[in-house]
Amino acid sequence: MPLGDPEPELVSAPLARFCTRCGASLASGAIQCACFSEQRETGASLDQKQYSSDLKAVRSAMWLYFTLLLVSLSFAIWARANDGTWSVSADLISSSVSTAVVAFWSFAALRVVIEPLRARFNLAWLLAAMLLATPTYVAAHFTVEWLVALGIQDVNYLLIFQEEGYGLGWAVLLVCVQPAIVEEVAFRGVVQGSLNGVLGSRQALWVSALMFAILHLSIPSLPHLLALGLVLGWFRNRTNSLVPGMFLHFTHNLLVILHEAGEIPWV
Amino acid sequence: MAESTSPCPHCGAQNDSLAAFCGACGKALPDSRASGPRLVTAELPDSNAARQLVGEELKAHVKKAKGALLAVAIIQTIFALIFFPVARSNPEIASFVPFVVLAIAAIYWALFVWAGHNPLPAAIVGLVLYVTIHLLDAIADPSQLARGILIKILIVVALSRAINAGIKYRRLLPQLKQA
Repeated sequence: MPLGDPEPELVSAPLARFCTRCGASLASGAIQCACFSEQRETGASLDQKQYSSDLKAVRSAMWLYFTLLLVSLSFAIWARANDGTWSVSADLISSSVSTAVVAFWSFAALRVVIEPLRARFNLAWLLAAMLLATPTYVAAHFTVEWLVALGIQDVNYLLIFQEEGYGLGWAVLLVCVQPAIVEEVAFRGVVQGSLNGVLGSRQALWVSALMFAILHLSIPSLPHLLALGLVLGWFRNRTNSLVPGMFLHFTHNLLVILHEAGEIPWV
Repeated sequence: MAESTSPCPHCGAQNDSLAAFCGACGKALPDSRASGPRLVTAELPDSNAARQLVGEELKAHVKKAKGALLAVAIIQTIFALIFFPVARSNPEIASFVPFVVLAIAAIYWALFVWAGHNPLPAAIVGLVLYVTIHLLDAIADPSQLARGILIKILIVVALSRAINAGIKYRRLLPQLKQA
């Protein structure tokens, strides 16, 4: 067994007769062994740790979406069994259940939620958020108006609250406060936060806005909810915080209620 | 790729320091790297081959994602084309419904095109939309749930696999640029 100085030109890589990775003999003229393509098919060239953390992030976003979807669909079935209309008591329960669902998933993805909740931001963003709610509301209003003219039904939330004997306070709590907090934590917190690391901020913004719009299960609201989702997602990326978005969301929904109450005669 | 070489203790041939077996005699080399997941790009003999292999793998992932979305697009289009005239002549179905069905088919064609550049977001939106539409459909008319249940399950599985392929695509793409 010669252990002395080897001659470098003795065997060069392209002339190898055996695979230097698995030791199998190579077919004459072959440069690569079949074990390279086998490895390719098992996906071993991927960084497995990275892959499983990406998979976990995408799964947590998707499962949050599907659990919330199941909650709204269960209540849709329940509402239909009880004469088929949207009722405040059903909404009260479905809001509580979806709050619990979001709380559960927030704990599961605590890191992506807690950071944007604790992040400091310039207080001027709160003012900007509340001001921006006016154009988003006006856009939403006219989109719905136009679609209603095409024959799609719309709901007057406040009217239902009043018919069932709940005051404006309940309407503000259930239509403005609860969605503003819970939906922001869910979509801008868990979904956008998890997807940010996998998709990059721009695509995560679009995907979370689309999920936000689709989950509302309302065709007339779809276009303006997508726009609202994009604006809210942009605020989250720009300020690194969920709080300005919550203010925007709250003000937007408040304008809807105020309009229904006849307090905004100008649109 | 590391340029350093080391001699084979059995025949003396020079081998790449990353080699586990001697290229000349096929015997195991001492102190070879522990086996386990390794980067193809780091170990291939030249960067052109690496680029080609990663490129092929990327293509395979895009194909998987596009295939799943294409299947949904075709099925939704066929359904829309059959449903449209029926729904238009049925006064019980609201006038906007056939247009919504057409729009859904159009959305899946758009997702199919998007998947060519970005398979992951297209696959995520595709799965979210598919499950939402079909669960809503099942609630509106429970008899719809069982209809074509096998195809529905297959599509959900295909779209989930498309998401997996999309994740792999995103992580392999930088390797193509490095190679």
